[in-house]
Amino acid sequence: MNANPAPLTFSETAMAAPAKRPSPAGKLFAIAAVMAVFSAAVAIGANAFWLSAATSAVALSLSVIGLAVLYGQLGLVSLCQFALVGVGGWVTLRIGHAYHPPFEVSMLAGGIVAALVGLVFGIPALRLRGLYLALVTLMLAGAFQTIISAWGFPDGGPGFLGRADGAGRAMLARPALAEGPVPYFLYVSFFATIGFIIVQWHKYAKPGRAWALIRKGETVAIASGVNVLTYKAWAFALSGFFAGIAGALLAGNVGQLDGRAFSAFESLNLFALTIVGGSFHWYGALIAGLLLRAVPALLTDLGIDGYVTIGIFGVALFHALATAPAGIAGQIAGLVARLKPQARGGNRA
Amino acid sequence: MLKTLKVMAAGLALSLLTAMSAHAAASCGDGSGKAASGEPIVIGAITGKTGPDDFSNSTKAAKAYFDCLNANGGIKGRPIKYVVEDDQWNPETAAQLGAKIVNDEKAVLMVGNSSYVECGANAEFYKKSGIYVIAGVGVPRECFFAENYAPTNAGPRVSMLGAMGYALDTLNAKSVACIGPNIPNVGTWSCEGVALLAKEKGFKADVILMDPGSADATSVILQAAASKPDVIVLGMSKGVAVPLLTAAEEQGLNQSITFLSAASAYDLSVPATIGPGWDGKFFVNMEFNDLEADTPDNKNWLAVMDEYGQASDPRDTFAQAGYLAARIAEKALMTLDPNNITRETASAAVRQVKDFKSDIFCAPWYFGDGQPRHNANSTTRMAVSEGGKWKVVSDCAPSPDPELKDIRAFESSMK
Repeated sequence: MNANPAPLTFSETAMAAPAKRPSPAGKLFAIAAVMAVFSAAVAIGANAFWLSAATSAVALSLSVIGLAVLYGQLGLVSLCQFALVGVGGWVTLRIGHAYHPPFEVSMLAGGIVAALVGLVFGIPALRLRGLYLALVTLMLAGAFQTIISAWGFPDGGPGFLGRADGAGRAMLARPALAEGPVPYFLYVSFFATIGFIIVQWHKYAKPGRAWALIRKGETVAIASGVNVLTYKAWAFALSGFFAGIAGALLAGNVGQLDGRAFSAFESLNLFALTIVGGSFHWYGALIAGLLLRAVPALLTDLGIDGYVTIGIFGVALFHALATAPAGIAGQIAGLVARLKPQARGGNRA
Repeated sequence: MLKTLKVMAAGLALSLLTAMSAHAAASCGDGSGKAASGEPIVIGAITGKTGPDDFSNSTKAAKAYFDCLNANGGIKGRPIKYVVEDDQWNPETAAQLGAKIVNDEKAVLMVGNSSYVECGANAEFYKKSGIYVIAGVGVPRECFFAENYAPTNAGPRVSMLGAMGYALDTLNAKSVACIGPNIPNVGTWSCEGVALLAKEKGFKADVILMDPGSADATSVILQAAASKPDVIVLGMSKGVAVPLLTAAEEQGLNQSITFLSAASAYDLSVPATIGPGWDGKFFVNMEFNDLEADTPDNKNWLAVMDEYGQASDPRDTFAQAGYLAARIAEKALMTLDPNNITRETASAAVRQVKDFKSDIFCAPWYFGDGQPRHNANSTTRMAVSEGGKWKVVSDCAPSPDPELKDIRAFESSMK
């Protein structure tokens, strides 16, 4: 490539660009198509164990896409995303047990409350960046861990906390149109696809451009007339919303949640795997979700000690930081991009 | 030459030793020594192996027993395929594994389960799938309040109240402080039982719930001692109980207050660890017989562990529980036609189990057909720390837990 005279390459790229880059609508459609193929493959091929693991994985990928907005678009390190998943799950269970509305209503409530909490958690980000923001959000995740291990998740009991304390323990009913394991998996995939599309659309639209400017530097953004406060707040709310929906979908999967599964470490893990999966591409979120749930499931299936996953994730994170900052998704995108010009080059010759 | 003789003598001694240990042979199945070769019967189990604590001793013992059974004719010629999964103390994983064992492996029964999270996560699912569980160690309240789930152990609350009953009847305690972990449905549930009994019987009870992960032992102990109770009852695992006792001894409290504990602190290493300062002053409840008891079934358990388990498998009360669960499952399955062992027939057989006798239990074990909950093991013993060992100090006594009313009523209707 380098042997080519520079002007030629330039004109080539310039000419090729309009034809090569798909339209935003086409890209959004591609997300739906890929997700449809993926979901169909899992729904047809997986047994009960893998179906359950895949359902959790896809639900969590929704929280990863939220985190990817913060890290991939704004460069903000938030280490309390899994706590927001817990907030969404808590509210969903609370509303679901108290009023027995359709699942979608509880889920939406979980998403909205998590968005508001995410917004509050994001307040430090209006002043802080980098390490300091990471520390503050990690402490918030720790605070959530303490609260949730004391409160537990609602299970149909009385009072504000909704704890049945054993005897009258109730499970949250799944949505009426997706009660079986396969329909519920497709249901989760459907909402994950919508989430991916919404985030991808943001990247093409005004918020995406504003985020890109803020990422370059807030002074630049302000100088360009971007309302930094609004767009940052919007990113936190959006991220929290998707985390909340993920929590609701997780709660629907098992019918309940357990406080012990929401330690601050899980938030760290989620962030690490967001980087490993790739925070700049939508399918990075899906990969991260699969890493979070399918890799431990695979090891469990093979009878390997559960602690091994932590080691594997550590190595994967090290690898990602050292050699592939765009994560696995970035490597896939790079591979695709490398294959394409080669094919075209072949034609030209 | 001399060397050869020595080697030969050693070899002779070794073979004699082997012969002798084979003499106390493990007894299981039909005792024929013929390996079962028919179509395997799939039995599942979920245990919390990796996580805050290793709970897998129960399934290890159950596996040893099933291996012994398979080597001795199996269930009328059919061997048991025992599928054990680790839920990693995560309810989500427990649910995944429940689906795997029930729907993918198509297990007919679950045996030896011991997990903190599985009961809550899967009890409903088991009920819907029509599979029954003879669990090893149930800890949270959910394990004792499910229709398809029957543990062989007594549970933390029944055990703690067993200790409380001993304190009232034998130690003449008039006031108590209960220290439990702040885990919902475990510590709260246990100490609430003590408070309820106090209300019924009219003695004074304080409840202190602590975070076992980040505890300051001295401050917890001083808080408990502040109301000057006659006895302090602990509901902690041995890893937390031992530091609490050490802190109490540093404060000289072992001189003025008697300490008791639920079965969670019953471990052979504890008396030597806490030292002679606690001789005759630290009592513990036992859900099962003395681990070193010289009774036939307890000896058989140890023989099974020696012959079919790993040398590293702990010989603790969890292992006793798993062994018993496996034996109960064997008894239930043996009543069936070997060509017709399905989930339906196995479930029916388990529901019919009653009057299962073992000297490891205080009272015969039963499933309790048609009962909404199961807690067959509610009669326990007490032991005291003495000279670096546990000394059994009481006969089997029923736990005074007021919550056991329905269980007691069912038991008297069975007679």
